[in-house]
Amino acid sequence: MLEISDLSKSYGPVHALTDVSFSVEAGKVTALLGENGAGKSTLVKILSGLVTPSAGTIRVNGAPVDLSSPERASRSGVAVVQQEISVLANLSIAENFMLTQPSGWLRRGSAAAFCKPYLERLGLGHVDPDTPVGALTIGERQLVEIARMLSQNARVLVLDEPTAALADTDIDLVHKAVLRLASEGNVVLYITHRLNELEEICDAAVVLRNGRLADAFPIKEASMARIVHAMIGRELDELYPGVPTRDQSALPAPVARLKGVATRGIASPIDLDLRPGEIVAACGQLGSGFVEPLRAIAGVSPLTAGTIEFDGHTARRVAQGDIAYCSDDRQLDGFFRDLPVWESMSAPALAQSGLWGLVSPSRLRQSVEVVADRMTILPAYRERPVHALSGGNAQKVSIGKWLSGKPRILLLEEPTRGVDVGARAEIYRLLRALAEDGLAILFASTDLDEVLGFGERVQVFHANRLVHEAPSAQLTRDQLATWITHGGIERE
Amino acid sequence: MSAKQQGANGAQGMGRIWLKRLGPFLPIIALAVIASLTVDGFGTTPNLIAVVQASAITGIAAIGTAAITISGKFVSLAIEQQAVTAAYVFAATVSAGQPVVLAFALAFAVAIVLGLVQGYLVSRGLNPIVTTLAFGSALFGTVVMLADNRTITLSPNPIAWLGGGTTFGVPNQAIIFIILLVLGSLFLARTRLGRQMVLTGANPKAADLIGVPTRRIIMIAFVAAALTAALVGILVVGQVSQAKSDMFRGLTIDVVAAILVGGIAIQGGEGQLWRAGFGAIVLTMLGNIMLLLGIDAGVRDLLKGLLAAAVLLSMKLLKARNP
Repeated sequence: MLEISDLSKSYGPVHALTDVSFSVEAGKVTALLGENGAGKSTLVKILSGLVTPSAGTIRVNGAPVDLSSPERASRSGVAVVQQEISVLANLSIAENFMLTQPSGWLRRGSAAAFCKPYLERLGLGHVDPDTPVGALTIGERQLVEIARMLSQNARVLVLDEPTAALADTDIDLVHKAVLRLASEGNVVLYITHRLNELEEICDAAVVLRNGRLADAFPIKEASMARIVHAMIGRELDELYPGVPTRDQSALPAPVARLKGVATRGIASPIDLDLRPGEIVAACGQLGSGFVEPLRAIAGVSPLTAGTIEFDGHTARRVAQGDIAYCSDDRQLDGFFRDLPVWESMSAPALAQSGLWGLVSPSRLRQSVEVVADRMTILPAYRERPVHALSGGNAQKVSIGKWLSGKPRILLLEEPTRGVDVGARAEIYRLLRALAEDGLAILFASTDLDEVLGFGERVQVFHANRLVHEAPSAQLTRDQLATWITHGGIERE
Repeated sequence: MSAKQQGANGAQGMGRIWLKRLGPFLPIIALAVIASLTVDGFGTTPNLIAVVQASAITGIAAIGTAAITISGKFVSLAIEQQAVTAAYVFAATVSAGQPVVLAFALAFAVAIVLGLVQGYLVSRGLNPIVTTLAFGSALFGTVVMLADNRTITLSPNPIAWLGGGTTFGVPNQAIIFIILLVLGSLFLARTRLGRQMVLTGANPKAADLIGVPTRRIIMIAFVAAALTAALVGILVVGQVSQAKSDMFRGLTIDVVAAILVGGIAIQGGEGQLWRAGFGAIVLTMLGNIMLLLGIDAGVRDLLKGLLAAAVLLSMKLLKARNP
């Protein structure tokens, strides 16, 4: 049993955690929920020994534990699996295990035998311990990392969004492992943004809001309304703005038409029309090719076959700025994280204005105001570096920056990854409003609820092929899941 | 956040921004004041002019090289070789009886070509350190071979006024240096090219997706560095009336040190061009003070190295505290 009492942490005047007390029972999976900035990551940092709390105690099975450094934390049996996977990809599984052993000698011979039982416990018994970690799927790497923690006698496991970047099959693998760990009597604290995971694997939930404990309850007493209310402190009327009912033929002519397009990630040619005002979803498992139509239009993936017509003309490239593309990794290429927000937001317009000539910094600053207002980015945030913003605000910067260049097509990969529930509703609403103003939107997502709730038309990809296309209103979640995992609906 | 709190934070923020902006000036001002009070001969006008004059060569080259740093490609390690090349091209053209204007044009044309070649290679993904190291070595070998390792002496020297002359008592080299400092600081803040150069250094992938021509910008940065190195080469020819192969020994390291001491983030996307020139002044002033104090050459180098390390460390600590 993990007991946290009166835990507080402040950074100067900022209170990241205030008097948080709760306990997590062994043998159960307890979800830790909260919006970005609610204090989850501070709590995780404290548990992993990276941050010292300002006040409060943490007990495991009644005895206080020493969490003053990461080494001491893991010696105390508290293991944190971070969001970024920290197993080394170019070493084998066995070598990764040996890295954290206290003995100074690497005994290769016994290493494989040593790690085998831990792998078996997590459902990785079929994997050879001498396999390089780089050859495993992301989900399997997560499990290797958990297995390594187990080998260090971890009794308390803190899993920080282990399924955030996983495909469905991997998610199942991780879920099974997590349930097994709990049934063995470990304490499991499970952080997630995916609310559907609560019903699937969690027994209880603890919700933080603004650094305080907002609610704690067993899952069987929970309703979605209670969870969301605890997280954002108010009722959320509708996560999705609602799909307008209209006649397909009433839409304007397509701004972009893909005709028989194939890329290295699309095996058989696909057709796709993007119309102003319409929101189209592409979905599939990771690696199934569902992001390829976006990348083909954006010019990131070269075409191996077919043509793309813009406004009825075949052109290798349309006017710069007509196409706005946000990849699934906004930290990597979505903005300039160390520069103030306005720099990122003014950048596309600046790039379109060419290389030569003068430009006034204060005018650049002013130029983003309309767009920043539209994206509801508070004026106080506009002078801050992007890395100081929450996931939701950072995503608003990543999308909003394109609006200064007046694009006609908006391409978004995983539009709400790492964005909390309150900000998600806001982003959906903003995007819907942009579509109403005549933008054609195509998004790619692995989140089925998002695909069905936010997309008007859905394209399903499986094994690098487009296998199904339908209006979202004509698909159920189960049907969609079957299409995605099997590439078809089995007839019974 | 309440309005009051926000106001307080804003004021604090402004104070911090000013401290950050003035930060690099404080040690130099303190150093100058202390030195002029305690070191005999430091505070005299001729000595101060000598300091600016002595920092001009390093400083001019550093301003151009800083463009490479800011666009995210670290530094060029071929500065001294490019300066030597320009010195030889210029001196050889003049001593062949050609007009001075042609000599200038040739030296700069060669510099542009050298900059484009390095910039092209680096913009296609080659490591800038390795590329410029190899390039500098090959270039130096070629120049020494072509010149037969001779010293070309110019008599009369048609640009003695430029390299060694003064205007109203201020050395012309120092005037060029100051002009470039001013232009350099305006460039990054107020030109489209300059701002896009910062974006390129801050996140090349994001800049690329947005439509910033990152490859062209990197090539332009290398051309800027090559041009300032060539200018330095010509100025020194004007000063000493000759071109020889070892005339710029150690310049590259001085330039890199000036960029670092000036506080330009080595990972790119931050800093202003003037800081490089400013770093050159700090380093020269330190050397000057130690010289006046009669400190040995070995100790001078040791202290210079320690200073560069101290500046890097303090920048790192400042960053860690105000992320």
